[in-house]
Amino acid sequence: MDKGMDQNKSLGTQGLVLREATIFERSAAGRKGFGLPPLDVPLKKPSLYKRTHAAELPEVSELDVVRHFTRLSSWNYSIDTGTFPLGSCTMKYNPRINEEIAALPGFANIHPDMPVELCQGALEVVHTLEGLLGEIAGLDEVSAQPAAGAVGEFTGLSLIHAFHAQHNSPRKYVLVPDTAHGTNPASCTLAGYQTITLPSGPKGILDIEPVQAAIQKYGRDIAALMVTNPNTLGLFESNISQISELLHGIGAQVYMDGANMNAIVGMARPGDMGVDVMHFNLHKTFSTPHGGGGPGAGPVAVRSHLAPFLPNPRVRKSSAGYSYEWLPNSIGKVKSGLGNFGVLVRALCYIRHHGRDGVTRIAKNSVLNANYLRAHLSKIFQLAYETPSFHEFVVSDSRQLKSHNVKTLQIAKALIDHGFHPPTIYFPLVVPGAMLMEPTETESLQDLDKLVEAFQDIVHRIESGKETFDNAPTKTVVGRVDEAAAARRPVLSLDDRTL
Amino acid sequence: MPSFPLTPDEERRALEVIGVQTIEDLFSSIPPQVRERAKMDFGEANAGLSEHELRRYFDGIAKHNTQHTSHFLGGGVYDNIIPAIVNQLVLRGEFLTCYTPYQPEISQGTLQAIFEFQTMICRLTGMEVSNASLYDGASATAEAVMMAQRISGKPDAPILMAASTPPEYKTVVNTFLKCNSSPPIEVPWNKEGSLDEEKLKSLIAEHKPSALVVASPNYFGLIEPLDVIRKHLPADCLLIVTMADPSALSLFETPAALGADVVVGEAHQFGTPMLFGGPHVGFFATKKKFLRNLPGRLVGETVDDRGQRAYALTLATREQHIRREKATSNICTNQGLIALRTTIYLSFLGKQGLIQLGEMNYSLFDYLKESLASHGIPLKFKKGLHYREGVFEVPNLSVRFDKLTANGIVPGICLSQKYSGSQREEFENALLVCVHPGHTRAEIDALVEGLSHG
Repeated sequence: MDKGMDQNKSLGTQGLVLREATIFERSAAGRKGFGLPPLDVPLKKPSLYKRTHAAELPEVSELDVVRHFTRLSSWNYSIDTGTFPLGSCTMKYNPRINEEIAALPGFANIHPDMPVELCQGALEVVHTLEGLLGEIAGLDEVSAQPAAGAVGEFTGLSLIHAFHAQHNSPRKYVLVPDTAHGTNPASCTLAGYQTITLPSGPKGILDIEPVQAAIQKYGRDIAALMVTNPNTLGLFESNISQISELLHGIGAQVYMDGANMNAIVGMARPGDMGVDVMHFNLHKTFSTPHGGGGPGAGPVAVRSHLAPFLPNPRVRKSSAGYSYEWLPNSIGKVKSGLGNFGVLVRALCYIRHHGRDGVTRIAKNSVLNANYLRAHLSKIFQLAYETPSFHEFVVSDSRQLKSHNVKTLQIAKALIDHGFHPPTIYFPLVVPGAMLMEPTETESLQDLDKLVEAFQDIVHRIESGKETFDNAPTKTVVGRVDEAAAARRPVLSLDDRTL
Repeated sequence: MPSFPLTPDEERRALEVIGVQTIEDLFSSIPPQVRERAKMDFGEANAGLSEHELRRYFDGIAKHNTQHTSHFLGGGVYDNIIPAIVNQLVLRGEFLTCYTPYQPEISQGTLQAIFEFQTMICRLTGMEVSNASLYDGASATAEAVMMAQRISGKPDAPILMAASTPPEYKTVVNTFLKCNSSPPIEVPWNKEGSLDEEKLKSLIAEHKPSALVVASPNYFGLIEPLDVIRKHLPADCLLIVTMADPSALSLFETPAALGADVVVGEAHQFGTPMLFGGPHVGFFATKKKFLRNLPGRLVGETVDDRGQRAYALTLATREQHIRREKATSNICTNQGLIALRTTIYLSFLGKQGLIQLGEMNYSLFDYLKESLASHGIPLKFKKGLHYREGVFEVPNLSVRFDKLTANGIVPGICLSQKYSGSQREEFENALLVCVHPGHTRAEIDALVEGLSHG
């Protein structure tokens, strides 16, 4: 490692970070942890099918647990720690009021089988949120039930499947642009459809011709087009209205993956572009914490012709209050209860916090920040497309690769030592060596300037031949992790260890 | 309004750097007719609320949900006692606001916690391998069925499913199977509420299924004789055991020891509130030989370039971001934070605490059962082995239910609302009653008193 790295420029430093083995390795036989309340009825035990060996859970004290998990937490990078320009994931700040509200006993401690007259508040949350999301989508009805974006995709495609079945028009194919998230084709398979990949045009967006060609070839076997808008290159699909008309002309549906709604919320509505069904990612656009990979929520919004198939039950409002309605033609349930209710509460809190005008400011500021970052970084990296960007943009490693054989992975890992989370790398697949960056609206220009300086420093070191960053990161609690070894001989639990 | 960092001066500076006049210019690739139509009306929500106003607004809504003083609801979602440290530790920003651990060098905290979660699930169920969690018990069951179909090599392979599986699980499985195969064929319960073995044998002969799904405890709180059921299954028919309540594993033999191939279920009752049904956390455990067919994320132990122990997501070649339309599942996330809650809770509860928890649930239900029986309210399925919940035949149920509810006691789930046709008739007066470890003798006595009169 280059000892001369300018410590003043880099946010990354080495504090005291403590080692910590697994919680099981803190265990001592006979040590008691959490105390349950005393049993005030006679103690009884089953006589049949008794467990012969107790499950080997840890035997640890309260402080053991607190220290263990506090130490573990210090090994994570998070939004609360620093800037997170992770494209396609919308890692924005999560206002803490959301957490406080979601933890209210009146929300946290409600059983989903509570009689309706005793859970009117919970039903009000779901109904109100669905109404607001419908307004944002420009669509007629919303189901908040899907547990995540991928479930939303499956739900939306199942609605399309049910719609075509009702019209005695079973269809085979879903058109998906080559810039799509991997979940899109995987969800198509789950919904019984084959994916036809459409190439994006020279400007990075979908041109009309490949859609026309697909319609020529597959005709009324096309069930739907599944499009992300803005797409995963951060570009607005400006042909969307005409493309939607073409698909509607053959009775096909238009599905929009709303993963990138942060860029257009309040500025453009999917319903106004000809979209028939879409999903939201509440954990992206509406700021519920990612939590190291969930929970999220993926509500779907639909035009009225798809509403009869929405997941059961629907929450309805009348003068007598809120109640359930069970639709006879529903695709069924896609999740227990009414969805990830705790996530829905957070999203409603976030939307009410912003109000209508504040919601629009999300899009404006996220697009401004992305373009500010793009203006700086396109001076040192190869910009993938000159087309105007929305909330994210793609650069590649091609200059650094050509001149000094340094790849995206090295650049990403070097950024960690500067105290930043790397961008999304090697995605979208259409750009070799892609770095997809989304700063979001919650970063200040000061923080973006520091990120730019970090990238400049890295590129300077590469291009002056000083470093290739093969060993980066060096300041993290562990160094470069051997992921190949993890896959070659999988050790997936403590009991798999051979030593 | 929330706090946005950008000042008017900074906005001008940013526009200058970008080289446009206004922010609106950045949206010029939106077709004008789309841009013009983007008019939203949030009604009373047009104006943003301050934190103080948000508290007032949501307190008002949440109040409508807290009109009861005690409840005996279960059936797949279980009230539980949550240690303070669970709520405190998951609020640490480094856990709450981190991303999926694709960059292992800055995600070791999440990764090691998931590795511990996987270890705990393996030790609870007796299985060899566990994934990093799924959305909930119902979706984990659906994923197990689809895995069995993949293993059989036939995407539309017939599946048998116990009719006594929680109704929510059945409908979710049906929805996920709908587009590619027939729904599972239901195996009815016998007069004691357990899987009907005679029907099972004939359905196996007729359909040659690639898997049987059995819930144990089932929806009626009964432990199923999994070892006996296993003996009826051909070798190539997987036994999928789904557990809406894995706290039963504190006292009862592991499904692995009784011949299960896959054990899935719901683990929210280990430290996560009921939250009106979610977010919860599904678990998925199986044998090592099915590793390549597993849905969802996996964390593996490995080393770093300094020779230290380290963790990473592994075997990602099964997953959608690599395999796209050929992936084992479309799942992109796990339930990271809820799996973390589970891990913290099980760590603190510990080996002895888990047994104590199971004994509490078992004893409280035993007391409830004896009390109700002595008041002329018998269990519907008397011979079975119950854990924490059971179906009771309550005379004049709807009147007594309403009276108790009006007094703030929610006595359980009326099963007639959960079934249709002849099953609904069978359950006309049936109430599914569940205990949880917070219940006191006094609360149970009040329930028994209310259910015995009126």
